[in-house]
Amino acid sequence: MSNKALEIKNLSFKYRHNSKETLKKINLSVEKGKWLSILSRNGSGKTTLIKLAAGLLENSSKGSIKIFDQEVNQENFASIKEHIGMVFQNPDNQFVGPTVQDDVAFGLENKSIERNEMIERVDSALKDVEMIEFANREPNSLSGGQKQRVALASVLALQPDIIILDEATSMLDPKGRKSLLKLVQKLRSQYKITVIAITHDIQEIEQSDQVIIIDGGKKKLEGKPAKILIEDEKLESFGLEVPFTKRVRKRLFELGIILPNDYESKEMVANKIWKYYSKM
Amino acid sequence: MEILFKNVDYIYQPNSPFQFKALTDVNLKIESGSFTAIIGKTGSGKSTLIRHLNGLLKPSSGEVKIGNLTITSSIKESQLSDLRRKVGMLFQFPEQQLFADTVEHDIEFGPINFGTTKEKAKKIARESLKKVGLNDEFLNRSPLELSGGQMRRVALAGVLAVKPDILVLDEPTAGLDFIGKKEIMKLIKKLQLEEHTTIILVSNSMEDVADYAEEVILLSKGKVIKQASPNKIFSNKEITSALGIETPQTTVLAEFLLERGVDFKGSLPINEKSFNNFLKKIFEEKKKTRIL
Repeated sequence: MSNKALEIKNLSFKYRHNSKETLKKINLSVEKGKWLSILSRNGSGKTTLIKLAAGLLENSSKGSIKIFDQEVNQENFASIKEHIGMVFQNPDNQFVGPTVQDDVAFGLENKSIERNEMIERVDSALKDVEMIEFANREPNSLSGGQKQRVALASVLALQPDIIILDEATSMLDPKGRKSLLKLVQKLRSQYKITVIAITHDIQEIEQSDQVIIIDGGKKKLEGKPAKILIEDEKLESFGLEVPFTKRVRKRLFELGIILPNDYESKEMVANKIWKYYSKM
Repeated sequence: MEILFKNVDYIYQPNSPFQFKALTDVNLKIESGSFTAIIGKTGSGKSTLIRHLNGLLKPSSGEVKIGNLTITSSIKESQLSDLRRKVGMLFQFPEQQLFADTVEHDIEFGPINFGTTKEKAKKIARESLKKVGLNDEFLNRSPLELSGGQMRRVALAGVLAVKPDILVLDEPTAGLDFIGKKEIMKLIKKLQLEEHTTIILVSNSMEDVADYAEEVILLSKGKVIKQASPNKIFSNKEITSALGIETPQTTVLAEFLLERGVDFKGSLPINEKSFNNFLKKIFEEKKKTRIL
């Protein structure tokens, strides 16, 4: 299999009823096993981009989208679909089974997987997301974070090469959010899965290998999180939040205390402030 | 309207194998025109508690007083209709409840349902839409064509159209982006300040709680652990860490500094405004001691 999980070349897209293009000349390449975050405010084209990449929207432009070297189009849809699993924003909209394990089994039943293998895969997926004790519970009785773990298990059971998270954490509380992202990170390295996460939350990009920012349908910035997180002014102009520690840095600057322009955790910033303070 | 809970218990599916006590001996008072946040982990009883505010749930024992109305387990449905007009509820993901063909029809539905004439309801729809920061152009659009933030506003306009005295909001900013969140929170604060609407906010965003609420009710396992100002709640580390309540980022950073030996006696900063003062103060104090 190719080393390129996703390759997009010169992709533009316009919805039929719109006069303007939703996406403009996007170029993007993601290597197998990497984590790409697509960061942008609402209504900037990121969901359209993902739908095109997964073949859920027909690519009517001259540009090309390839998943593992295979062009995404109607003829190839069946095999493209095999590569990709998606977890969506609202945990309540993705359940079909009466119990957690039925729900995870649903996708496997659709693919006519043999019963013994199905049981094995459901078990192992639920173990992977640390939800095995909840196998017989009703999905509705779970918390938002637990529901998203089950949704992730349903995807994992199908053994995808690429997992797409479409604002999958945006409904969760801060703890649920962190723990889901940590879990995705673990699964990514364990199974060499490529992760494509779309988000409008700057705090979520820290774990990724590569970040792109889309605004007004165009790719505006691309790089590693450490590079993106220090672009205060640009982030603001794209309607994104400047990270908290960067806001603190600005405030310190006004007080005459200059910290280097790196992105740092709260603890690291505390150390720097302390160093300055104790030498005063 | 003042809200008073006296010894409220609530039991789901009583006398069955699934019996579950969701609220235990809840006592609290929420003043008219105040902004109160209800916080607590999933399953702590937040949703059960707010469902008592418009009579969706009635206490299994004890009583809830809202204005002049006392709600006990024996109250009749017919006595609750006036309350339902006075207490507006915006549940999670309210955009899923938008159903009409146009924004206007959706907002009018509440007032018409409560007996307002069609003509008057039309006028109210316009006013409500203006309150949430959308112009008349939206009236004839389909709710389904709107962006997430716009849909959330239309849903809020629908609740405001019945002119509630009390507005209960369950995670009103969940799923919105940074700008959308800020806009909705500012709007809610404005309703409190300008229309004197009593605001009750259920939220997981401790930054929002610290920035906008005047009072916090902290729930755990169906009990009220503490009711106090955000400042008192978030600087009480014993309670927040014991209950696994996340504190605002500013509080976390200030705590790191105190642990390292920064000298500060006041209460911990809970939002960026108070954090800026905190920074200024610690450096000023340090300079003073240096001069001495």
